[in-house]
Amino acid sequence: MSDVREKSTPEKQSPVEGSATEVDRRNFLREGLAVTGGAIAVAAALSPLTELDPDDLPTVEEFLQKHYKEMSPTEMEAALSRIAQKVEDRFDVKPTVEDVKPLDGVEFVYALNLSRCIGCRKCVHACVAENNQSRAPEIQYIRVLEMPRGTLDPEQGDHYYDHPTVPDANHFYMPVQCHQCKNPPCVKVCPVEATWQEEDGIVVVDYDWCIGCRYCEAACPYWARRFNFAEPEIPKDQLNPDMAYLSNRPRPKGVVEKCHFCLHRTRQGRMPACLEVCPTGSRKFGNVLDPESEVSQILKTNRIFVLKEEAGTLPRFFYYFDERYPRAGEEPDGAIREEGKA
Amino acid sequence: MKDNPVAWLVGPILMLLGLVLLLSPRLRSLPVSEQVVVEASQIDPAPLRQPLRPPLAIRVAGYQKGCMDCHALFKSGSKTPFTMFQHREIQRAMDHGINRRCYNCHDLARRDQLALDDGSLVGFDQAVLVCAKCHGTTYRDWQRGSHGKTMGYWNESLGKRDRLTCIQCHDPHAPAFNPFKPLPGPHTLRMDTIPRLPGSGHLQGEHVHGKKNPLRMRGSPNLSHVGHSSRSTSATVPEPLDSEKTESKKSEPAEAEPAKMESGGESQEVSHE
Repeated sequence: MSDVREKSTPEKQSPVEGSATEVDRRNFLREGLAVTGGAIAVAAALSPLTELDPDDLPTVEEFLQKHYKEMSPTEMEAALSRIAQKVEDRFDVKPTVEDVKPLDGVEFVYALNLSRCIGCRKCVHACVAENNQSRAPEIQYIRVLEMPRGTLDPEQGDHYYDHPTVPDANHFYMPVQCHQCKNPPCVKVCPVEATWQEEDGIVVVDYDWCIGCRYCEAACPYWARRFNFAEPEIPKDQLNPDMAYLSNRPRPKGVVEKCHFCLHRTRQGRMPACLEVCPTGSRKFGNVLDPESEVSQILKTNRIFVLKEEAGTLPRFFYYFDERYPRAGEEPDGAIREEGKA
Repeated sequence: MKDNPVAWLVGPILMLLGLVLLLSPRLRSLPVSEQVVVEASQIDPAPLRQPLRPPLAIRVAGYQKGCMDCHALFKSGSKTPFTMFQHREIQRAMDHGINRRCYNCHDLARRDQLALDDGSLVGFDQAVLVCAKCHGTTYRDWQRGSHGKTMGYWNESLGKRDRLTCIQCHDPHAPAFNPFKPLPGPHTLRMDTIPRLPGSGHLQGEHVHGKKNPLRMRGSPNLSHVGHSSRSTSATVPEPLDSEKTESKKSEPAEAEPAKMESGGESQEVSHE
């Protein structure tokens, strides 16, 4: 083999050899300098890798974890215990991490009384506490817009308002959070199907599948999605240990998150945290497929406002107003139902 | 190519590049704002009021007394508002519009009962019916569920639903809500360490080379406010220490505004301390 090459090369490679013979001191120095400089530049460019924390790298199991919908029950079990272990290592709290599935015959709807909301922001912070959002940098799912009376234009809304007391006489308040649209633009733009709509209407995110491209954040007309620019910071003593895979387990850096109607609570029959803390009872939640539910009654009888209705997103989040007097043609007391008395 | 003097520059330029890369400040952590502390008591979902429930009792000179223990002895006229010695706090707090006669709601003879329009009596746990005497439309809305607060479970097959009654939110003697102190507003990423320039209302770093800094579009007009307001009403917001720390810290990276990356490292160190 080597014989063959030695025989054949002299004719073929003569021009190369010719140039090789031209390596003189000058060329050697010049090219050596360039190569050394290049090596230094590459090394300097790669030097941040030395600061890489091995804990930031995913383990083999995490790397090979499948998409939420493709996981078998045993794989999901393994993923949940992995998450629980990670939380315990980091927060010294033993959490209960579950995979809560949608209930049959349930479609969630939220209604919010704009006549009653006073803008106290309790919902914002109850949500943060319930859903283990990052405290610094701050991630909040709910924004309370303060708007001048007489307009419903979100462009005039301000969510930095800071009056000594609320409500301010010249403003009204409109909390905005994920509208769980029936026609969700955020789901359509996701290139990896890390976000989707569940049977009960809740749009969820698989935080382990999200690649952090933030397309969904740009697509959402309600500014409902939040991106974890940094590692979420949650004080150990404020961690909510009642967790679910698709909702409030601690998120990694670089993924998108959003309101999920507290699905770890609501899919077990409870009310969302923002509703329970509301001191004015402006927030209403329930199953719209049940004609007797509060939200069904509200949608039937109250004046409803849909934010950015023209966007065609078909939200499951409705704003309504109090009806102070019977509507024309309606019996003054005709609509009173007797079983509402508890 | 062989004698091109520019070729000699390739090596040194690459070395220089490496030096610049090594020495340039690196974004090790993002500049983040201080953590806002919200006490658990401020987001307690419990009802606003714990109304009286039968059997009613009042503490007089250390003894538990039922309503009728006293009122069986002392008769008062039906048209005499607020001349008694007991219940002065109700007299002070009374703010229910023109409805300021005790016996519009309370029964004259049975003081532990409430009176309906037809003369029938109900206990204090049925106060809803008394409110409904005047507030019919609100009562209708409450029955439908559009007014009032529902706690517990939306699905009654999974747990107990708790529909709060009128007097669990409203004080029947002064039903209007008191104003609330709002909890702190958002100051999300990139909205930290921007103190206001003294005198003018402008924010530090709001403008760069005469142009509006895109990262500072909204600035944080509230951030300095958060400190002020929480200090002025420290009774309700027990975090004045924290906000003062924020303020003192804010002044120090103010000069290094363009070098945002370095201030990020600084704030990281600070947060570790």
